[in-house]
Amino acid sequence: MPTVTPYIPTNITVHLGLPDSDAPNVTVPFKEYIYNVASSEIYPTWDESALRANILAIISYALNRVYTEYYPSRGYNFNITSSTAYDQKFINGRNYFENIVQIVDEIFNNYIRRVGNIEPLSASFCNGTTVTCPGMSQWGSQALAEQGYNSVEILKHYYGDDIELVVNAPIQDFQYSYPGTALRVGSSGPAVVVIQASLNQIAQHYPAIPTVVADGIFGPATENSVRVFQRVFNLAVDGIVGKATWYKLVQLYVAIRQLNELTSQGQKFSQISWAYPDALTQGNSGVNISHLQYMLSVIAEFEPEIPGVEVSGYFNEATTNAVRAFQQFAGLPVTGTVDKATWDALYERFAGIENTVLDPSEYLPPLTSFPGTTLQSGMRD
Amino acid sequence: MGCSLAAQGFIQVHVYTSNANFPLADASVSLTQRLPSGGSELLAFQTTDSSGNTKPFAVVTPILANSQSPNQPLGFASIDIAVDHPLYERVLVENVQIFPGVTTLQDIQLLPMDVLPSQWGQNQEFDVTPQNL
Repeated sequence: MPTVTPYIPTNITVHLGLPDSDAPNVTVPFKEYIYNVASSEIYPTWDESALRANILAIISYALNRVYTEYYPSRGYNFNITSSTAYDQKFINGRNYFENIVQIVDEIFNNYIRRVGNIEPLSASFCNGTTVTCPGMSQWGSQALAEQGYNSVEILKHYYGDDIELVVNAPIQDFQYSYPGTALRVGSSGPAVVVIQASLNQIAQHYPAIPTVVADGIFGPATENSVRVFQRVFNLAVDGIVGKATWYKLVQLYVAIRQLNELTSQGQKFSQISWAYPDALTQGNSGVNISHLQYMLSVIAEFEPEIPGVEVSGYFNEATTNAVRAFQQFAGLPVTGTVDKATWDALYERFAGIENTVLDPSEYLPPLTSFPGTTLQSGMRD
Repeated sequence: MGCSLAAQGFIQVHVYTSNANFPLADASVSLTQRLPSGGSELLAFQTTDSSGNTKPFAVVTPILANSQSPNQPLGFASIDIAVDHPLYERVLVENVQIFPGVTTLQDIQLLPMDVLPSQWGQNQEFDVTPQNL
């Protein structure tokens, strides 16, 4: 499963043709990619709310491709194509429009997601006249803007009321989910949980693949399941998860959960593999603390020794007590400070519960700590 | 004048070299428009300033209503831009779109000639195809 928190890539690599065509790639800054696509897809003379709605859809669609590693997981060396049959229109070398550039500069690190899902919405669209589709109608967006709809109302009209906007998403270089070294019997840690959870998800559609306990330990059962997976998907059957097997797992996981579709079943907050942020201790605050508290509160539901905590984003005394209780429970030094060993142990226990016990509809408690804003009528974007 | 109802948009060209975006002064920029008769009319000829920019140039466009709803006559004017500099490869951008009331920005990256010494006289061409609207 995708394990990287959604982010804005510094650059994006565009293949100038159909995926299998012998066309060149160009790598451009993400902002310029959005200038280009928005200038190629719509008219700059449209009402500002229509322009904003379309630009947010274009950003979200591109980020979905990046987040789901859609092309890299299929062995391609690019992130997106310029073909409208597959992606959105990009014309190498083209002109931009000044008003579109100004809007993109303002909102290029905002994107749409469905409430409760982490992945950027695969916000597909079409012109609405000669081509119609389940997503946004481009001409329809302009018609709604002329009726006085703001950009949020336009997006909700086409994508549903349960969407929200993530603002100021982090910007970073392109990040591949593959951990860089092959995982095999004896490996352990969050990347192994990812493999196990992905196998379990894929096994729902491929009953030949044995499900495994997502405990973060690569044992004989996991190896066996990997071997069956490799046999089913024509990979070299060695029971080792190298790059090819990893990306096949990603590809299947994304496809089964339809993460790259408007009908996505959603990547839930609780399925994300949060990398160890840094030592966390009482008095700290922020999104990492919310993640910590969320994991603790889920574990507390299953381990009576551990007191439940409120997801507040603030590392208070109750959080310290819960961390100490967890450290005791896990046989770690009881310090009340979250070091890497504690974080990884928390994550493994949490992910194990989440992927094997909980039904996807039962994630608890609802987490709203990731910087996202519920769209309100009256907001500009 | 007879065309007082016609709208206009603007084009500004920025010429630079290398991915670090060094501005290129004294590049020759010609803006031309194809005529229905098949010929081509020179609209403007400018050289870039020390920031690599031309001055904004006004181009006559169709009226705004053409681009506000589907099934209308074409909503934009198209021009061709050629950029020359003695030390750089020539770049042509065809069918650059100009909409009424909008400034079109055309960034053009020139590659030094000596990057490809065996390919003297090579042009780099781009063509802006219309939106699928």
